[in-house]
Amino acid sequence: MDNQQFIKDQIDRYLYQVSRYLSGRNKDDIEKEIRSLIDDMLDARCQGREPAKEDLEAVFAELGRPSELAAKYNDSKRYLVGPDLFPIYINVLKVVVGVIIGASVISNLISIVTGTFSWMNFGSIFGAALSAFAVVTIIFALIEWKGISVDDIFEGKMDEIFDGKMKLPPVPEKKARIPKSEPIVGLIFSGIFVFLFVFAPQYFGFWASGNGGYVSVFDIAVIKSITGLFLMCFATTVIKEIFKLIEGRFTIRFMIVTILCNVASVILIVYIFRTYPIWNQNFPSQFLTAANITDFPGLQANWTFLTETLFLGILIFGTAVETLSCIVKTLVYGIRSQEY
Amino acid sequence: MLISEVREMNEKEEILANLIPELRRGTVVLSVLSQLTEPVYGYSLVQELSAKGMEIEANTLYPLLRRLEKQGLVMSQWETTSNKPRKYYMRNVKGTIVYEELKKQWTDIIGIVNALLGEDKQNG
Repeated sequence: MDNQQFIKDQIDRYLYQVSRYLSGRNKDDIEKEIRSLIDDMLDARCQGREPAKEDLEAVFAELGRPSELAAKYNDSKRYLVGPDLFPIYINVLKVVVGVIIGASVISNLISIVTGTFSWMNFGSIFGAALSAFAVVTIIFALIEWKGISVDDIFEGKMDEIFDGKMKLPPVPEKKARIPKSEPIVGLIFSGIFVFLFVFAPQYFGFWASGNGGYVSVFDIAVIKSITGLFLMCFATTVIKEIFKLIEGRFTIRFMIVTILCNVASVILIVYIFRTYPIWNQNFPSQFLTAANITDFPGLQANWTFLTETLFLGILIFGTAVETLSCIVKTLVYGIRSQEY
Repeated sequence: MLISEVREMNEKEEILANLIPELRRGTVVLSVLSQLTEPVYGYSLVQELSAKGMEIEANTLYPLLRRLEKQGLVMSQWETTSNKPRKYYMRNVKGTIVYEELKKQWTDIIGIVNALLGEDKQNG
């Protein structure tokens, strides 16, 4: 390789590294421009003689590391989860992943006691933690991505309020504030619940003493087959609780997010329970056999009512109460403390 | 010289090393805009500014030119007729309006700061 070729090759290598860190439409154009800059810088150094390796090294040193040079072009900082959200993200992640790992360790301990432990289940700890991590991260990434516009609206509003005429909103009264513990507890419980449901549905069941065996309330194969739907359900709760954590008080925004999340979660749950045979249809008869009794009044007759109507009814009722309470609190305390 | 004195001097230098670029930073855009009355390419601008005492490194100027273009203050065009293709930049109308306004601000700032510094001299 002669000198000229060597110089060209090294420039190509440098530009390739720069381009790896560049993003956006102008990537090729920037690369082309830096190439012409390197040419100009070499010319200025060499004043007519042929550039040597040392000249090129000096030029590269002046331009800086490829990643640093590229960073100067990528002026808008791009994050999956930015510095503003990061502390909250880490907290939520600790709680959710911690709870899920905790629940899964406990469930494995139980399985050791009951003699049903297997290393396959043990591996589910990792899978569960990874799913929790993914759900939380995706939600925060979405907030980050969408957050810019939400913040713009909010800050725009703040500017309008603060036009120097003492119109800043008052500090929210105590009742309009939501303590941090509330969303954290919410996250813990929904984490435990979704974990048990998705990764250890076998614990919802009846163990007969002696060698009567075990009867599952759910059809485990069906539950395992729709893990994704349950995780989506979980995501609606996580979104709501994270928003609660960020907002810290009842506001119209928070009310809207709550309504949307709750409606989405109810629709999902109703869809899941109406579409898939989640429940073990043979539970009543298997239960009687396992428990070694001849009759359990009303169980057989009411099994469908219990699982389909009552269960969904309670769930919908609970969600409706929560939604209404949020709406009322927002309208009574939230709006009042937003007045200005 | 005592070690503590050396340390104190180093510390002062370090603080200055942070403050001086900060002081200069705001003047870079104004300086660059001032030179873009006719089409110039990046490296010639680096040399031109350097000859006039304004040292701006190429790896700062080139991204800056792109940012100004993105903000709609300058326009650019590749000149490919010579054997060295180069991208030329020039202030447009919007750029000139912004430049004139910045210039006015700059003159005001100089006046105010110089007055403050002069006051300091009188007192001292």
